[in-house]
Amino acid sequence: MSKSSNTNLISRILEVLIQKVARRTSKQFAIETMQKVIQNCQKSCDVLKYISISKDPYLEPNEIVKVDNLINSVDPKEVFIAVEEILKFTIKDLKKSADYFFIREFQEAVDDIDHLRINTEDLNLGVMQLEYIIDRKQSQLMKKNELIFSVVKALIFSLNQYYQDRKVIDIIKESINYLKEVYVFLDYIRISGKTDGEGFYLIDVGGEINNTLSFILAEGIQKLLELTINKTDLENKDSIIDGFKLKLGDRNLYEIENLGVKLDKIRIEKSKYEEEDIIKKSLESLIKVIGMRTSDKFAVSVVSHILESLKKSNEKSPLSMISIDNSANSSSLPNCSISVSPNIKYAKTKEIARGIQEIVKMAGTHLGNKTISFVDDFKSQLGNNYVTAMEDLGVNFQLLEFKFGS
Amino acid sequence: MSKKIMIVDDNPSIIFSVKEGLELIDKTFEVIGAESGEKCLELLKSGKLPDLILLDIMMPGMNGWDLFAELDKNSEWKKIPVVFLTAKTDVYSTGFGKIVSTDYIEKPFDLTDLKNRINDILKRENV
Repeated sequence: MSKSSNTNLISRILEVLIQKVARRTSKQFAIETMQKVIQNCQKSCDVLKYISISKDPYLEPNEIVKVDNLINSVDPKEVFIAVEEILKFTIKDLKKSADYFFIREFQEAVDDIDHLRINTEDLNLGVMQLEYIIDRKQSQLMKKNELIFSVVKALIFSLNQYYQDRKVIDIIKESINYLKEVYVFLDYIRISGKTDGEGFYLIDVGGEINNTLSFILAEGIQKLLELTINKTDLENKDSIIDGFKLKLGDRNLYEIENLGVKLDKIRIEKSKYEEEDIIKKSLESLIKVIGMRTSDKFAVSVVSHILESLKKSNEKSPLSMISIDNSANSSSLPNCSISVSPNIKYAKTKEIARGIQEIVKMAGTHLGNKTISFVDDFKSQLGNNYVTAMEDLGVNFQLLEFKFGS
Repeated sequence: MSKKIMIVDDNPSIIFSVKEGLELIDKTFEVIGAESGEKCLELLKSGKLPDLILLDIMMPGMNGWDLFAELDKNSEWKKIPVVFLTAKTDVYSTGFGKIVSTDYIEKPFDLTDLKNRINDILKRENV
């Protein structure tokens, strides 16, 4: 690049820049921004002393930028450095008005000017785009400790719905201690035994956390949530995530998802109950509920009849792996033993759920206005843990209640 | 060929009226009465197997539910069609009765209707 083209280079680049900024804001604003930028950049780029920007917005772009020809005596490398500085400062100054596309648009505009394309080969806008992204991420990093603070607070809040304060803190601390060897940033989280004015445990998240790379932070948060939730003995663990989301709020939720946390990928350990346990418990509960209204022995007959009837209507149903022996003696149920083939674990859970649902539906279908209370009693007999386990399996109680209700 | 019907009811007057009525209007009926669930089982054990059982639910001692369960356990007895005699307001007897029993008849019942229902069932069950 010849020294004589320095004037041309810098003036055309500044003209394009003013045009691009003006398109996003206004010409007046673009001029003021450019004046400010050049003034700031002059401290590090002496070459910019040859440039002046006119304040008159009614002038044509090529009249706004005035470049003293003395600039042609300067090494072109210095001009490039100055141009880069101007670009960086402009982007920073524009904040939200400038983005990745602003740089690309600028590059395209510069490329359209043939002689400038050649002259700006050394101006690595691709790198600047990357720097811009990193810079934006860096600005996000400033909020990381605040975000982690909110995450921990929301987690405590959600667990607090089920456990006492002390236990909640213990569970979270245990998880942190376990994970901090891999996710070092977790060590910067301090949950004090003391509470604030509102009775909430004091949480301190060190600013050092802001140096953690986003993807590590995301992975760590996800693991922390996963481990903490799975440490609880709740059957309905999904409700903790629901409570967590609620407390975290939309903005922070967006932030952590933006960071890379995938709440829907958190692996919640499902019910500790095997299919066999669930089937047995559901049949036993059904027998008990029918027995409360008739007699225990008759209830066994009712459920046996239903089971056999459904088995006949669909021989491929997993229900064919279940049998009720009403001649056997059992301590838990009168004259009945329920057996489930171990092969049930190979059956599709959806099919098992459908089978159980059909049994309950058939049992309650002729009870008229007593049906809803029948289902309620059935659920009470099952207990929350088994109701959840059945729902996890795929039994849709709401659908049952809806069908019975209608 | 006579059609053996067993009526299980703790009310002797119902047994009497069903026996007299059915045997009067249809000479092919032979009605056996059992005043309790226990008596029913006793008769069955003695080999008196009817073609159909009319079973009252609310009985002292062994009620209709438990008696049904006992019938259900026995491979021979479970083949006998059972008709529940239920009170109109007894949702559970009719509701669960529909699932396990052959049929149910609400009390008070008309004898001609009872006869027709029994004949229909016996025909259907190929008895």
